[in-house]
Amino acid sequence: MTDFSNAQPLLRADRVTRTFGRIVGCADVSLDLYPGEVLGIVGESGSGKSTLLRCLFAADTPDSGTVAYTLRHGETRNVHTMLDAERRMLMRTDWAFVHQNPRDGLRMHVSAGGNVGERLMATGERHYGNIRATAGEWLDKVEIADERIDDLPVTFSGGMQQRLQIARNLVTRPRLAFMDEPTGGLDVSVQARLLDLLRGLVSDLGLAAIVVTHDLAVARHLSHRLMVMKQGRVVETGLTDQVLDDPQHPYSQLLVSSILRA
Amino acid sequence: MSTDTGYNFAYLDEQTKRMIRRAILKAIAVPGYQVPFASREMPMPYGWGTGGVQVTASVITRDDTLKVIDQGSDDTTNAVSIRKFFAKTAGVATTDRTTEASVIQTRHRIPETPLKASQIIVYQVPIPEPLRFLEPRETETRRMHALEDYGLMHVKLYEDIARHGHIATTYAYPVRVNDRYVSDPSPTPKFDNPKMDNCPALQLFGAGREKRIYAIPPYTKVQSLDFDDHPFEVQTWEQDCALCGADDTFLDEVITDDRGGRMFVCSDSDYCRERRDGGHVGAQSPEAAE
Amino acid sequence: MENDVILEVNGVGKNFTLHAQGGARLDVFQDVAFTLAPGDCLALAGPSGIGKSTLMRMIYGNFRCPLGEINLRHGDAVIDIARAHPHRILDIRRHTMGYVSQFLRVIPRVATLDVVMEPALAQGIPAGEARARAEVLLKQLRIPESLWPLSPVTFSGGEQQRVNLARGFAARYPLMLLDEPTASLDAENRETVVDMIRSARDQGTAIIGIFHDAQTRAKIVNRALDMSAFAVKAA
Repeated sequence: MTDFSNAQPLLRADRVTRTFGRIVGCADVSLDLYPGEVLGIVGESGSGKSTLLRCLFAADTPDSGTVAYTLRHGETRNVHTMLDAERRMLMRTDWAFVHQNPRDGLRMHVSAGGNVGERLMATGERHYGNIRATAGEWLDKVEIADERIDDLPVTFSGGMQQRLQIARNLVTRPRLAFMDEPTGGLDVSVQARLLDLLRGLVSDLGLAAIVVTHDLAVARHLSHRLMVMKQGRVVETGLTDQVLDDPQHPYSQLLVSSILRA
Repeated sequence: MSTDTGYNFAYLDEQTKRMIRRAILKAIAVPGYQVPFASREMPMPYGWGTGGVQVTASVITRDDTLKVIDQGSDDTTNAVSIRKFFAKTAGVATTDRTTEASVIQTRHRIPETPLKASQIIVYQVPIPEPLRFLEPRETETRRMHALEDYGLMHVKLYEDIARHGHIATTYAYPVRVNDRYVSDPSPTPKFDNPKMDNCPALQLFGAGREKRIYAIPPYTKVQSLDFDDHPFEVQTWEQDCALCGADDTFLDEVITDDRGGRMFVCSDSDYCRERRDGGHVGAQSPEAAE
Repeated sequence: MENDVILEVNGVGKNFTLHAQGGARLDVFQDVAFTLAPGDCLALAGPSGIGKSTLMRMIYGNFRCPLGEINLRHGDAVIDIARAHPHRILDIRRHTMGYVSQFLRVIPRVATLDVVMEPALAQGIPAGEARARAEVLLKQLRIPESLWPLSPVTFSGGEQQRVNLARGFAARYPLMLLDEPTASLDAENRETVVDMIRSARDQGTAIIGIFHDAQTRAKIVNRALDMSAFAVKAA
């Protein structure tokens, strides 16, 4: 675990608003994320979680508000006004993306090794042997057997594909991960393994993350802090266990009390 | 400008040629960059070199001598018909000899005889986008070029090595032009890639169906992509040319009978003939059999 | 806050507003006040429903504190848990305050040994040392070695509680909160846990506990706080 007390924020959103005509995507959302910190964003479908996430990594442009990111050398930049080339560079080095559907994050017709190696090649690695060795190490880290390195992701199970997506993204040792329902499409038995793996990697790498999920168990096990969103607005925010165990806002209470217990 | 046949010079009207020349100038100014142009319907089907023909039509003058080759040969249907097309519509001289030509239109080969500063070589290109088969979205590939986001190109080579133990791509082998744009050298064998590097001749590429023109100006650096531990290599053959004995040319396999008989000969028929005229003989040349 | 005080609870009150039930307000207690010094072991006493666990969870920062202040000595600073930033509370939980709850909450796949080692690792204790400490604790608490590589989720209630205790004692904190630590243990294990708590207390750890078993309480505790005194009278 990382100590957040005296660092400057890695990502800072200030009153981010995105509307689609009369429909509010997200409104007036501010947040700070510190190095090594995991922030969970919960809320039901349509609450604006994904819209906010897209605004944070500049896949979408807010109508108003700013999102600032602190680069490795300490300079803080607005992610929406930086050059495309700079943003691309961040996307293949500093930022990681874990999509709910691994098909959105993998090249399904490129081998597992090629998928993991792509970011290395994109950042100038030109030694096949080194790329392959590093890809092998990362497959090992996400518990994919070495002999699958030349297999296509289409031959993998959903859980393996999700783990491959994670390896593919973390190989450049990014500082910030954007995760959208990372365990969403997986069987319950596979979810726990992925959660454990993610938690270990996040803490080993000192990775900061924003995890959008409607699964409160995922939020509890992964995130340090939690933000509850409803109709595009943040209705409650705080320490994860505090928000889940002593929710204050009517909507948070409803969300927590609606969980079915097995 | 019309010829006695009634066609406008080199078939295309002057406004079209001017438009294409502008595209060519831009392509030369930004080596390897694919310039869009308003490709015209030509009196031949797509896939028969409509892009190359439009480029040739726009650069050729009355004083030029044209050579057209297809797979290294001047005598295939495609080469013959394009040569006739320009002889008729532009009234230019044509030749089989690389050394005599000032404009060479080609499909699939670069002549073995080194090109000169006074020459222009025009490539017929079916698919100009080297990233196409890795990333089908044109909006995305254009952005990748703009941002020099070429990791994917190496992924393709990586996959080759992982699957075959070596880079198995043998033609349309991607190159980086002038340390900037990754380009498709058209479906020439990778054997010809080194000829593109620092070439004294102007190299123009036309893709008719895809409506793109790109160029490599004379004496430009052209680098075949590779890995440090799997460097770029050209094809080699165990045999020499059966007709002229050359041991450093691109060879075609020719089936000679229906009992498995075959021989390997230079794919560049002009080069092979010149060597034979110069007294070189191969293992199966008629002179050797006597 | 006095120098020899580690925790000062002052004017603390708690209420819950149940929005799903027409905004019904539940007042639990008010005006709770006490201080704690290193080596103190305070029992929270009173009938069930009086708010013992609630107060403990407020001190841990797990429940919000709407009234009063909870001042805790954290390194060189004194922090009011009721108003502290979440980052600060996480840091306090890592270094200053441990909590053994009644229930073990872990990801189903993580091995028991790793579950126990985790708090020590978070404090920056080297892996080898953390592992050694975890092994000693698991042995003391009679968790068979064959279970160490397994996830504790499938263990019996008593085993889970012992794993939870081992986890709580694997790192050393100036303040420990124990919510019925011996509730589902047999006599032998209860004795072990009592020894562990006593030994921590004698080394200067301040302890706040809820102990339903009078015998256990008598062996450990040097003070008790009767929570009935703070019940909110109906208006």
